[in-house]
Amino acid sequence: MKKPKFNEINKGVRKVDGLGLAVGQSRFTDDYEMPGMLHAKLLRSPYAHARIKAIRTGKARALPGVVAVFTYKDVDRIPITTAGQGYPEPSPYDEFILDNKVRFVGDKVALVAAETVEIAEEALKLIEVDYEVLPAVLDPRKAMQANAPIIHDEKDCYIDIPVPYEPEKNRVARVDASVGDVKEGVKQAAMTVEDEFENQTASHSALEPHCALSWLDDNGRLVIISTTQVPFHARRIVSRALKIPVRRIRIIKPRLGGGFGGKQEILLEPYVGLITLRTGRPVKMRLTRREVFISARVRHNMITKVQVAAKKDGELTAIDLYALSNTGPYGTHGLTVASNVGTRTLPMFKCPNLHFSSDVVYTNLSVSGAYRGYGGTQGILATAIAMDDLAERLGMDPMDFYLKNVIRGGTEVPILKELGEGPVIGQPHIGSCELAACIKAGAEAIGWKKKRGRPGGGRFRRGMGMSIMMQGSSIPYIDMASAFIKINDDGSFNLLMGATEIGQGSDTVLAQIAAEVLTVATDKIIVYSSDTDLTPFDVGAYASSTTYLSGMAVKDAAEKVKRQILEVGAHLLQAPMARVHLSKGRVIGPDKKSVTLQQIGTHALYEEDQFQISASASRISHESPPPFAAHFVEVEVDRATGKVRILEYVQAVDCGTLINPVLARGQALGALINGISYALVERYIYSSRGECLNPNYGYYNIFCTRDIPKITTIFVPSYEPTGPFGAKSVGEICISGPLPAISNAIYDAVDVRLHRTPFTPDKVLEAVQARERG
Amino acid sequence: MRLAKLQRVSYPETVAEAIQILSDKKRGAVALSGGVSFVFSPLQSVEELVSLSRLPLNYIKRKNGGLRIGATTPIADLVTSRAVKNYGDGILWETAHRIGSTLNRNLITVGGNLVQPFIWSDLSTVVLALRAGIKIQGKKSRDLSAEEFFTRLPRQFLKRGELVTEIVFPPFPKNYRAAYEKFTLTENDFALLKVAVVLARSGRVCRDVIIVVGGATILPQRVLSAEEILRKKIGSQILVNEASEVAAEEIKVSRDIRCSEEYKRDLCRALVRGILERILLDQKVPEWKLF
Amino acid sequence: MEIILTVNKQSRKVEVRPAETLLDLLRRLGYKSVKYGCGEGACGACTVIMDGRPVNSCLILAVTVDGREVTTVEDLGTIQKPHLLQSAFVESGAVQCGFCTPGMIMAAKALLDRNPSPSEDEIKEALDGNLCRCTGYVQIIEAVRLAARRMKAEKKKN
Repeated sequence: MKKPKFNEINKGVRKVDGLGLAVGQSRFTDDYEMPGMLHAKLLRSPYAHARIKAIRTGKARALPGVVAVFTYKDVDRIPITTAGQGYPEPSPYDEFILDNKVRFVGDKVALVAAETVEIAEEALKLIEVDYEVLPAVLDPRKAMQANAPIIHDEKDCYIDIPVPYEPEKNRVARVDASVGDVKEGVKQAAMTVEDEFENQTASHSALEPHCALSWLDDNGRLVIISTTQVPFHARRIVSRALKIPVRRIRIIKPRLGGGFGGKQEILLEPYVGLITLRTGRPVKMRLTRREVFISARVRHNMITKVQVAAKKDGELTAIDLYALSNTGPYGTHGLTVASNVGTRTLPMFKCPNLHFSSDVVYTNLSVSGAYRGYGGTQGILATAIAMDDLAERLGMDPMDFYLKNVIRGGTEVPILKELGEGPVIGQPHIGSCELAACIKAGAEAIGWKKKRGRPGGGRFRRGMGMSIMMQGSSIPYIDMASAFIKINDDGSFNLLMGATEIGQGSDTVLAQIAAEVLTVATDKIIVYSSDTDLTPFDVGAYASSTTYLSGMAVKDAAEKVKRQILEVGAHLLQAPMARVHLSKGRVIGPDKKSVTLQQIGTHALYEEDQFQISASASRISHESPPPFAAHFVEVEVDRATGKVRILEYVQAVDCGTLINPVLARGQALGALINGISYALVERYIYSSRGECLNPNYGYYNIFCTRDIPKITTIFVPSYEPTGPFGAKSVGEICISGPLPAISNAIYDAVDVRLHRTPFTPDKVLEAVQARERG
Repeated sequence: MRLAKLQRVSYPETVAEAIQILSDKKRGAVALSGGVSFVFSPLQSVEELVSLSRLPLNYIKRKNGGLRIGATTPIADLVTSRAVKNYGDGILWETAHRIGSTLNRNLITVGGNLVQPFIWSDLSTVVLALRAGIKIQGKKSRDLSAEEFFTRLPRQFLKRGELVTEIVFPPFPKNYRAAYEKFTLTENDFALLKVAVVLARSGRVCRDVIIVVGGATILPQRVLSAEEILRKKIGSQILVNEASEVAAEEIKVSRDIRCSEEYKRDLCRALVRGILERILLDQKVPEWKLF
Repeated sequence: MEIILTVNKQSRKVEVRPAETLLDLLRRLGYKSVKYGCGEGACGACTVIMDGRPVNSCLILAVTVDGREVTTVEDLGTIQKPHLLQSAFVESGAVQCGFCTPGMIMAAKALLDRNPSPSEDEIKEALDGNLCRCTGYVQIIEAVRLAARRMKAEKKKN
């Protein structure tokens, strides 16, 4: 393919907000303060499942410095979901900002506003609660049993879309989709592998804890600065929760300290909003790290079952995948994460018989939500280990097995019609796909053929493993993004977007897209995101949609602005529109005469028939072009302690055009290290009562600088025709590879297959010992 | 309010002055060295904090092949000290190097790490293995062997007004070998288990040996029965296996939310065995395990 | 209680509450680059340099820093005139969300002050108390190497 020529695209432009962050100038939510600001704290449940029989707040209210105390008696009972998704949300309205029932250890019981954090914390201790402790569901496998305690026995929870929702069975959702006939496929097969897997709950661990600050503006409107990935959804959900119209709410997202899906939840905004509306005073609420661990969202723990079948020559004939998803006590993202187990896995294979099903169940454990990877991580864990196993049983190198079975570009994918989140119009297809090239490039870089199957002897054994994965880019026909661009008299532009910079670099990437169209340097684009009063709508930063979808909206807006610029330029040059063009920040006429953007901006704003050169544009997506990746890892396993050390990791990625290669590499690396850390060390440790025992970085480990292995990231050349300048997404995909790649490598090293994550040394050792015992 | 009774912070410049303040019952004073453990579990009734930061106890001195280390020396200084690196086959250095993170090591002090037995208190294991002495100053001064010091929690036997002021590491003779291993999930993690072994060899004969296991209980444990198996014997794989097996069986293991008791015993076996293979049997270890 | 503290070369007399940490105090005084990430010395978002050493300001009681000298990232450079570490961080992609960045840069600064040409392992060790969830650290380590090279070159020039 011929590489298109770009000016600002495919260039490692410096992150537009980078220097402000590096010099400590940038302000995050917690860095804002208002005069007379109160501080809020939530009293949290010590029980996994209990009813509040009585709650007495007199002593807390009497404490000097306490301004307000709220319990469920003081707020309207309105079922909401905290899931910051499009409307109507595919998540049930099963949560109340305060309730007479608590459903996990850490659930909210009462809300306190006080002059200082310290006083608010003191006040929490003075609230007296009598609980009726109820039996709890602490194992998702038991959630649907006949005698299981019902977590949502209230009558007012419901889901706003036409899908099955059965709280009386602790079932949040069901998914069932198939193409072909799996049974038939299995019959045709020479070899079938069937297995069960389980991934663990994990914390997003964005370095910035959740925080929100609210106050009333000059006209009594509620303003909330918040650590949110989804300002517009936050506005809508606050409106519902507090029964005030959307027009009375403004949500501002300042710099945001990492999200990964954890801030796609409306966790604090309704509480600060409530206090400000009731007291008239500004209030801030910032979670402690402990609170983030116990009360913010986690990755869905799932038990996945998979059956894969293939003919003798390795041709896949059937894949049957099932996921039992533990969504915790609230069903936020329950249905959609589960369906993504299928949509992020099955389309990769040229296999005529596919079946995916899932049950999403309530438990009294941590509340699950969106987490980078979003179901793909869970689906790939199961399929990539099962396929490694299947390839081996067929006497094939898994690499060759994959090359035989993975799709190429321009393929129709009927399973997506069955599994799609939104309406699917026409036959879903995948345009660009360089997955096979990723497999070849990655294998070459790590020396796959040379190193695999040579564990060596003694205490330390080496092994190689691989996995393949895909993600999407936006949710077709559901996600919408828009952008507004205007010119200034110096020829610079303001780009106002609802698209949410959360650290991933969207402000920069989208500015580059505008700059490319307007033929200026990226630093001529002044980016502002996001503020529900000032920036046009965007669903926010999730579903790997920003570069692809918001990128197209920005591109369209820039094209419109460009047209207006050309019109003014043509007028100034006294040339017909058809004979002028924009190049390097100048409108150039037929006789090589030109005018600068500064002249055009100044002319339009001051000189003649004045008007604001500006445009907005909106886009929805018609498809969700997947990025693809192949991961390869070499590990060393200590057979005496079970410790797994990563020696080398290679990832080869197809994400279309790299709008910004430096930032794209950062996305791939960040997701990968998070994935490796998740695969090896991260986990929640629960007591027998369902309490998280390790809500801190001392006991919940995440990788530090000294833990990272040698990594090679390869971007395979690729061009997605529907994306802005050929781009697809790159934010999430690489988090999903490490679980199965490392498991497969452990197998290559010590001949044991690990199905349950994380691969902590105690688990690895147990498996090694079990194998030795025979 | 937290620490509501706290009235003042004093910064004594001599040990005598510090002891005087701390001995005064009426002052309700608590000594702070690096201050880390106090931030984690502050004594709410404290009226006065006595910062030890200005005492002349921040030093590392070489003496007759041994070391004297002042109690307020930050762990970070051990890591940058050539004397520490060269002493005791580097195990004191290796221990220091793996305590917490660089940032933590700048705050945590040698004395604090010994006196406040937290999960990150890694020094005690090597201090015991290297047969160090601990100097305690108070109204009367006393020197305790590490063996005596770690029989109980320090706060149970340190009297009011008593301060650990110095750790004395004895000479480390030429025929001695030592190794330390800390087992963690991530590199800056708290230990699941740590083992230090110091032994005296002549040729392949193990003349004397100390095996200390830390992290299984809050205080470090010597594994006497395993030592006994090795003492005055010719080193062999069978012997090493036997000693590590006995160590794994013998140690006391407290509950740890992170793993089972059996796994800690497995780790103990693996670590003791690995170390003995290295320093008694001269077996090679993977390059990345060497420092 | 009153203490005298030097922050970014400015001596200040401040009233501090007994349980206040140095992190709380600095943020209260307006040094907002110093971040709360965990409050227990495990994430490094609150890293400042105190008397030449990078430390977790959340582990230090403000009442105990009388007479000390503290430097925060605000002292290093500005958007117009960034420190070489700061520009190297931006160029290398070491800044994503930027929440860990001030602490990370302070830890790196303390390293380069002591060791102008650190090896990769030395960089990793110096930054091992500063967690970052966005970057996976690779580009941060590259940034420190780049800054070290440039700082050395600059020193040679002068």
